[in-house]
Amino acid sequence: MSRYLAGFRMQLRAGIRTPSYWMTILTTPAQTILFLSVITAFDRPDLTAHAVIAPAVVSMWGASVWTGGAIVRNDRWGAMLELHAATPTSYAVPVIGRMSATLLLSLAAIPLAMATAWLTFGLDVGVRHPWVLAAALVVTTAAMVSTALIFTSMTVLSRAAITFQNSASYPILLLGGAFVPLDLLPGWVHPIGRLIFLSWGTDLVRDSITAATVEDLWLRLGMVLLLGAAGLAAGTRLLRMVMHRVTVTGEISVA
Amino acid sequence: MQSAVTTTALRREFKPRKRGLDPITALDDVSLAVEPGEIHGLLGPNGAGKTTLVKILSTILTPTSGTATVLGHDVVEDPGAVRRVIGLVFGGDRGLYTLLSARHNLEYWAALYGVPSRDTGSRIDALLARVGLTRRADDRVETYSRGMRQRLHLARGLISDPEVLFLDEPTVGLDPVASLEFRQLVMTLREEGKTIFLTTHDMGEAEAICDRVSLIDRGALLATEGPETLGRWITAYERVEARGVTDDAATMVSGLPGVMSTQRLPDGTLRIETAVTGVVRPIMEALLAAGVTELGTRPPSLEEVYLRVFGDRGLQV
Repeated sequence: MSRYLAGFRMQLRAGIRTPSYWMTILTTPAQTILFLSVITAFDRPDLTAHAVIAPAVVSMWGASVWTGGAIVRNDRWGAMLELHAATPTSYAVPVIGRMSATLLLSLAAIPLAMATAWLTFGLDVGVRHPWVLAAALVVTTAAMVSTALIFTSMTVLSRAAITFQNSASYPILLLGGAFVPLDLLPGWVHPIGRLIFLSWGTDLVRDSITAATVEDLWLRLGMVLLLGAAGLAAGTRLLRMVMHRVTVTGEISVA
Repeated sequence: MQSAVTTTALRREFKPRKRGLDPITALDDVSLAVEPGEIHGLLGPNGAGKTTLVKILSTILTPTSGTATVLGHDVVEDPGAVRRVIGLVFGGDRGLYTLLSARHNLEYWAALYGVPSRDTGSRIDALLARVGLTRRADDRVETYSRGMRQRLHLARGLISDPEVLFLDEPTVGLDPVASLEFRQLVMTLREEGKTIFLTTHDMGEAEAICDRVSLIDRGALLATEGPETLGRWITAYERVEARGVTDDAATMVSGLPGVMSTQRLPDGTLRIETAVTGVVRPIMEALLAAGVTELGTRPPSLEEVYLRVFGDRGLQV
């Protein structure tokens, strides 16, 4: 735990001074305006919560994937990747701590999107179940960090992984119902989408804002945690494997 | 007594990215033993395989064949045990989080090495005092000089109180004063019984602080010698350089016993290479007698010593 917290603290200290880690959050207002413009043009005020949550979730997922990749790239160029490999601690532990810190900062995307809706369209997005929203954001954020670790592993393996990261993470957003709820996508996509933590998480976040009652709360929270844990297990194992591989090939360093 | 570090027939090849090319041999059949408590130098020019060996010993690179152990732990079979007893220090600017302070860098690495939280603060304070960074402990590393960064590197390497410390070209790029300070710090570690394995391409540095020095080139270990042998080589192959030497004086000097060759440099300086010890003084006296007043001695380069001592086994200059 102390090793995780060391990464968390370190990232808070360094990350605040490194805009590239949290720059994606700044795209939230622009995307919020875009989504709200569409629903306003089609006179669908019932979709306001969707239009506000979508850009925030996109920003948060972008921040998690970007941060994981940036950590590895910076550590590799700075020779810190080698120094990490020489410690008794698995590289995954401080990396998860560091990604968690950035994701904590990226939660600001939610109030930022809500504030944008109010300031630009005069829309007040009330939250019907604030505690459910808080719980949903906590578990969804944790699952984002865990799942993004898979993409982080790819960065260790390939120095040109940024293209893969950008393209491969997009389906997660689509199938995870970040743009539109999974129920609105074609039926054959649903079974696949339900295997992605984000579909459970974003539905729960939207329901916490708009639904009169939130059904199956514990089941849905549990599914986010379960799928997040699966992502964590896969990401940790993958990262261990690729770290071993680069010590064999010698690609752990740039020199 | 068990050696602190051993390598047996160690070999490391790198496969080129381009297909069809032969593997590059970075280490070839390297066998050596480092005794506990000694400062062992690995001396060689750039590209000799020094860093490759350090990386294998610190478990961040696997050997192609052969074995290596640190305090009896095999670096391939039991890397976790090796990591718990070693410290690793790189030279150069890389290896530090420059947006953080020295204290925060050390806190981070202390946690990763499993230093108990209750000991972390006091250990960091002691290390910062030891490397002379107490007053700048809370400043960002990006504001540090090159010498300060290198001292922080050393503190980072010592944060887990390792029994074996690997220093990879720790003084590269440092000015002479900072290099001297760093060497003095390293020598205090020997007094504490730590085993230090140091790579360098600086013969003077190896001679000054090492108990034994292994000479490496093109991946192959050429010899392991004491520092006195290095000192002898440096003296034997010392050269004299003089300005304002007439052609007649140059001819006279080239005929002196022990003079191997003379060479006129583009700026007119006469370089006189010696072949044996004890001839520098008569050469300088002869030059002074010929009215030359701008003259001095220069140590030989590592490449020259390799070529003269090891001949074809050493590198080509």
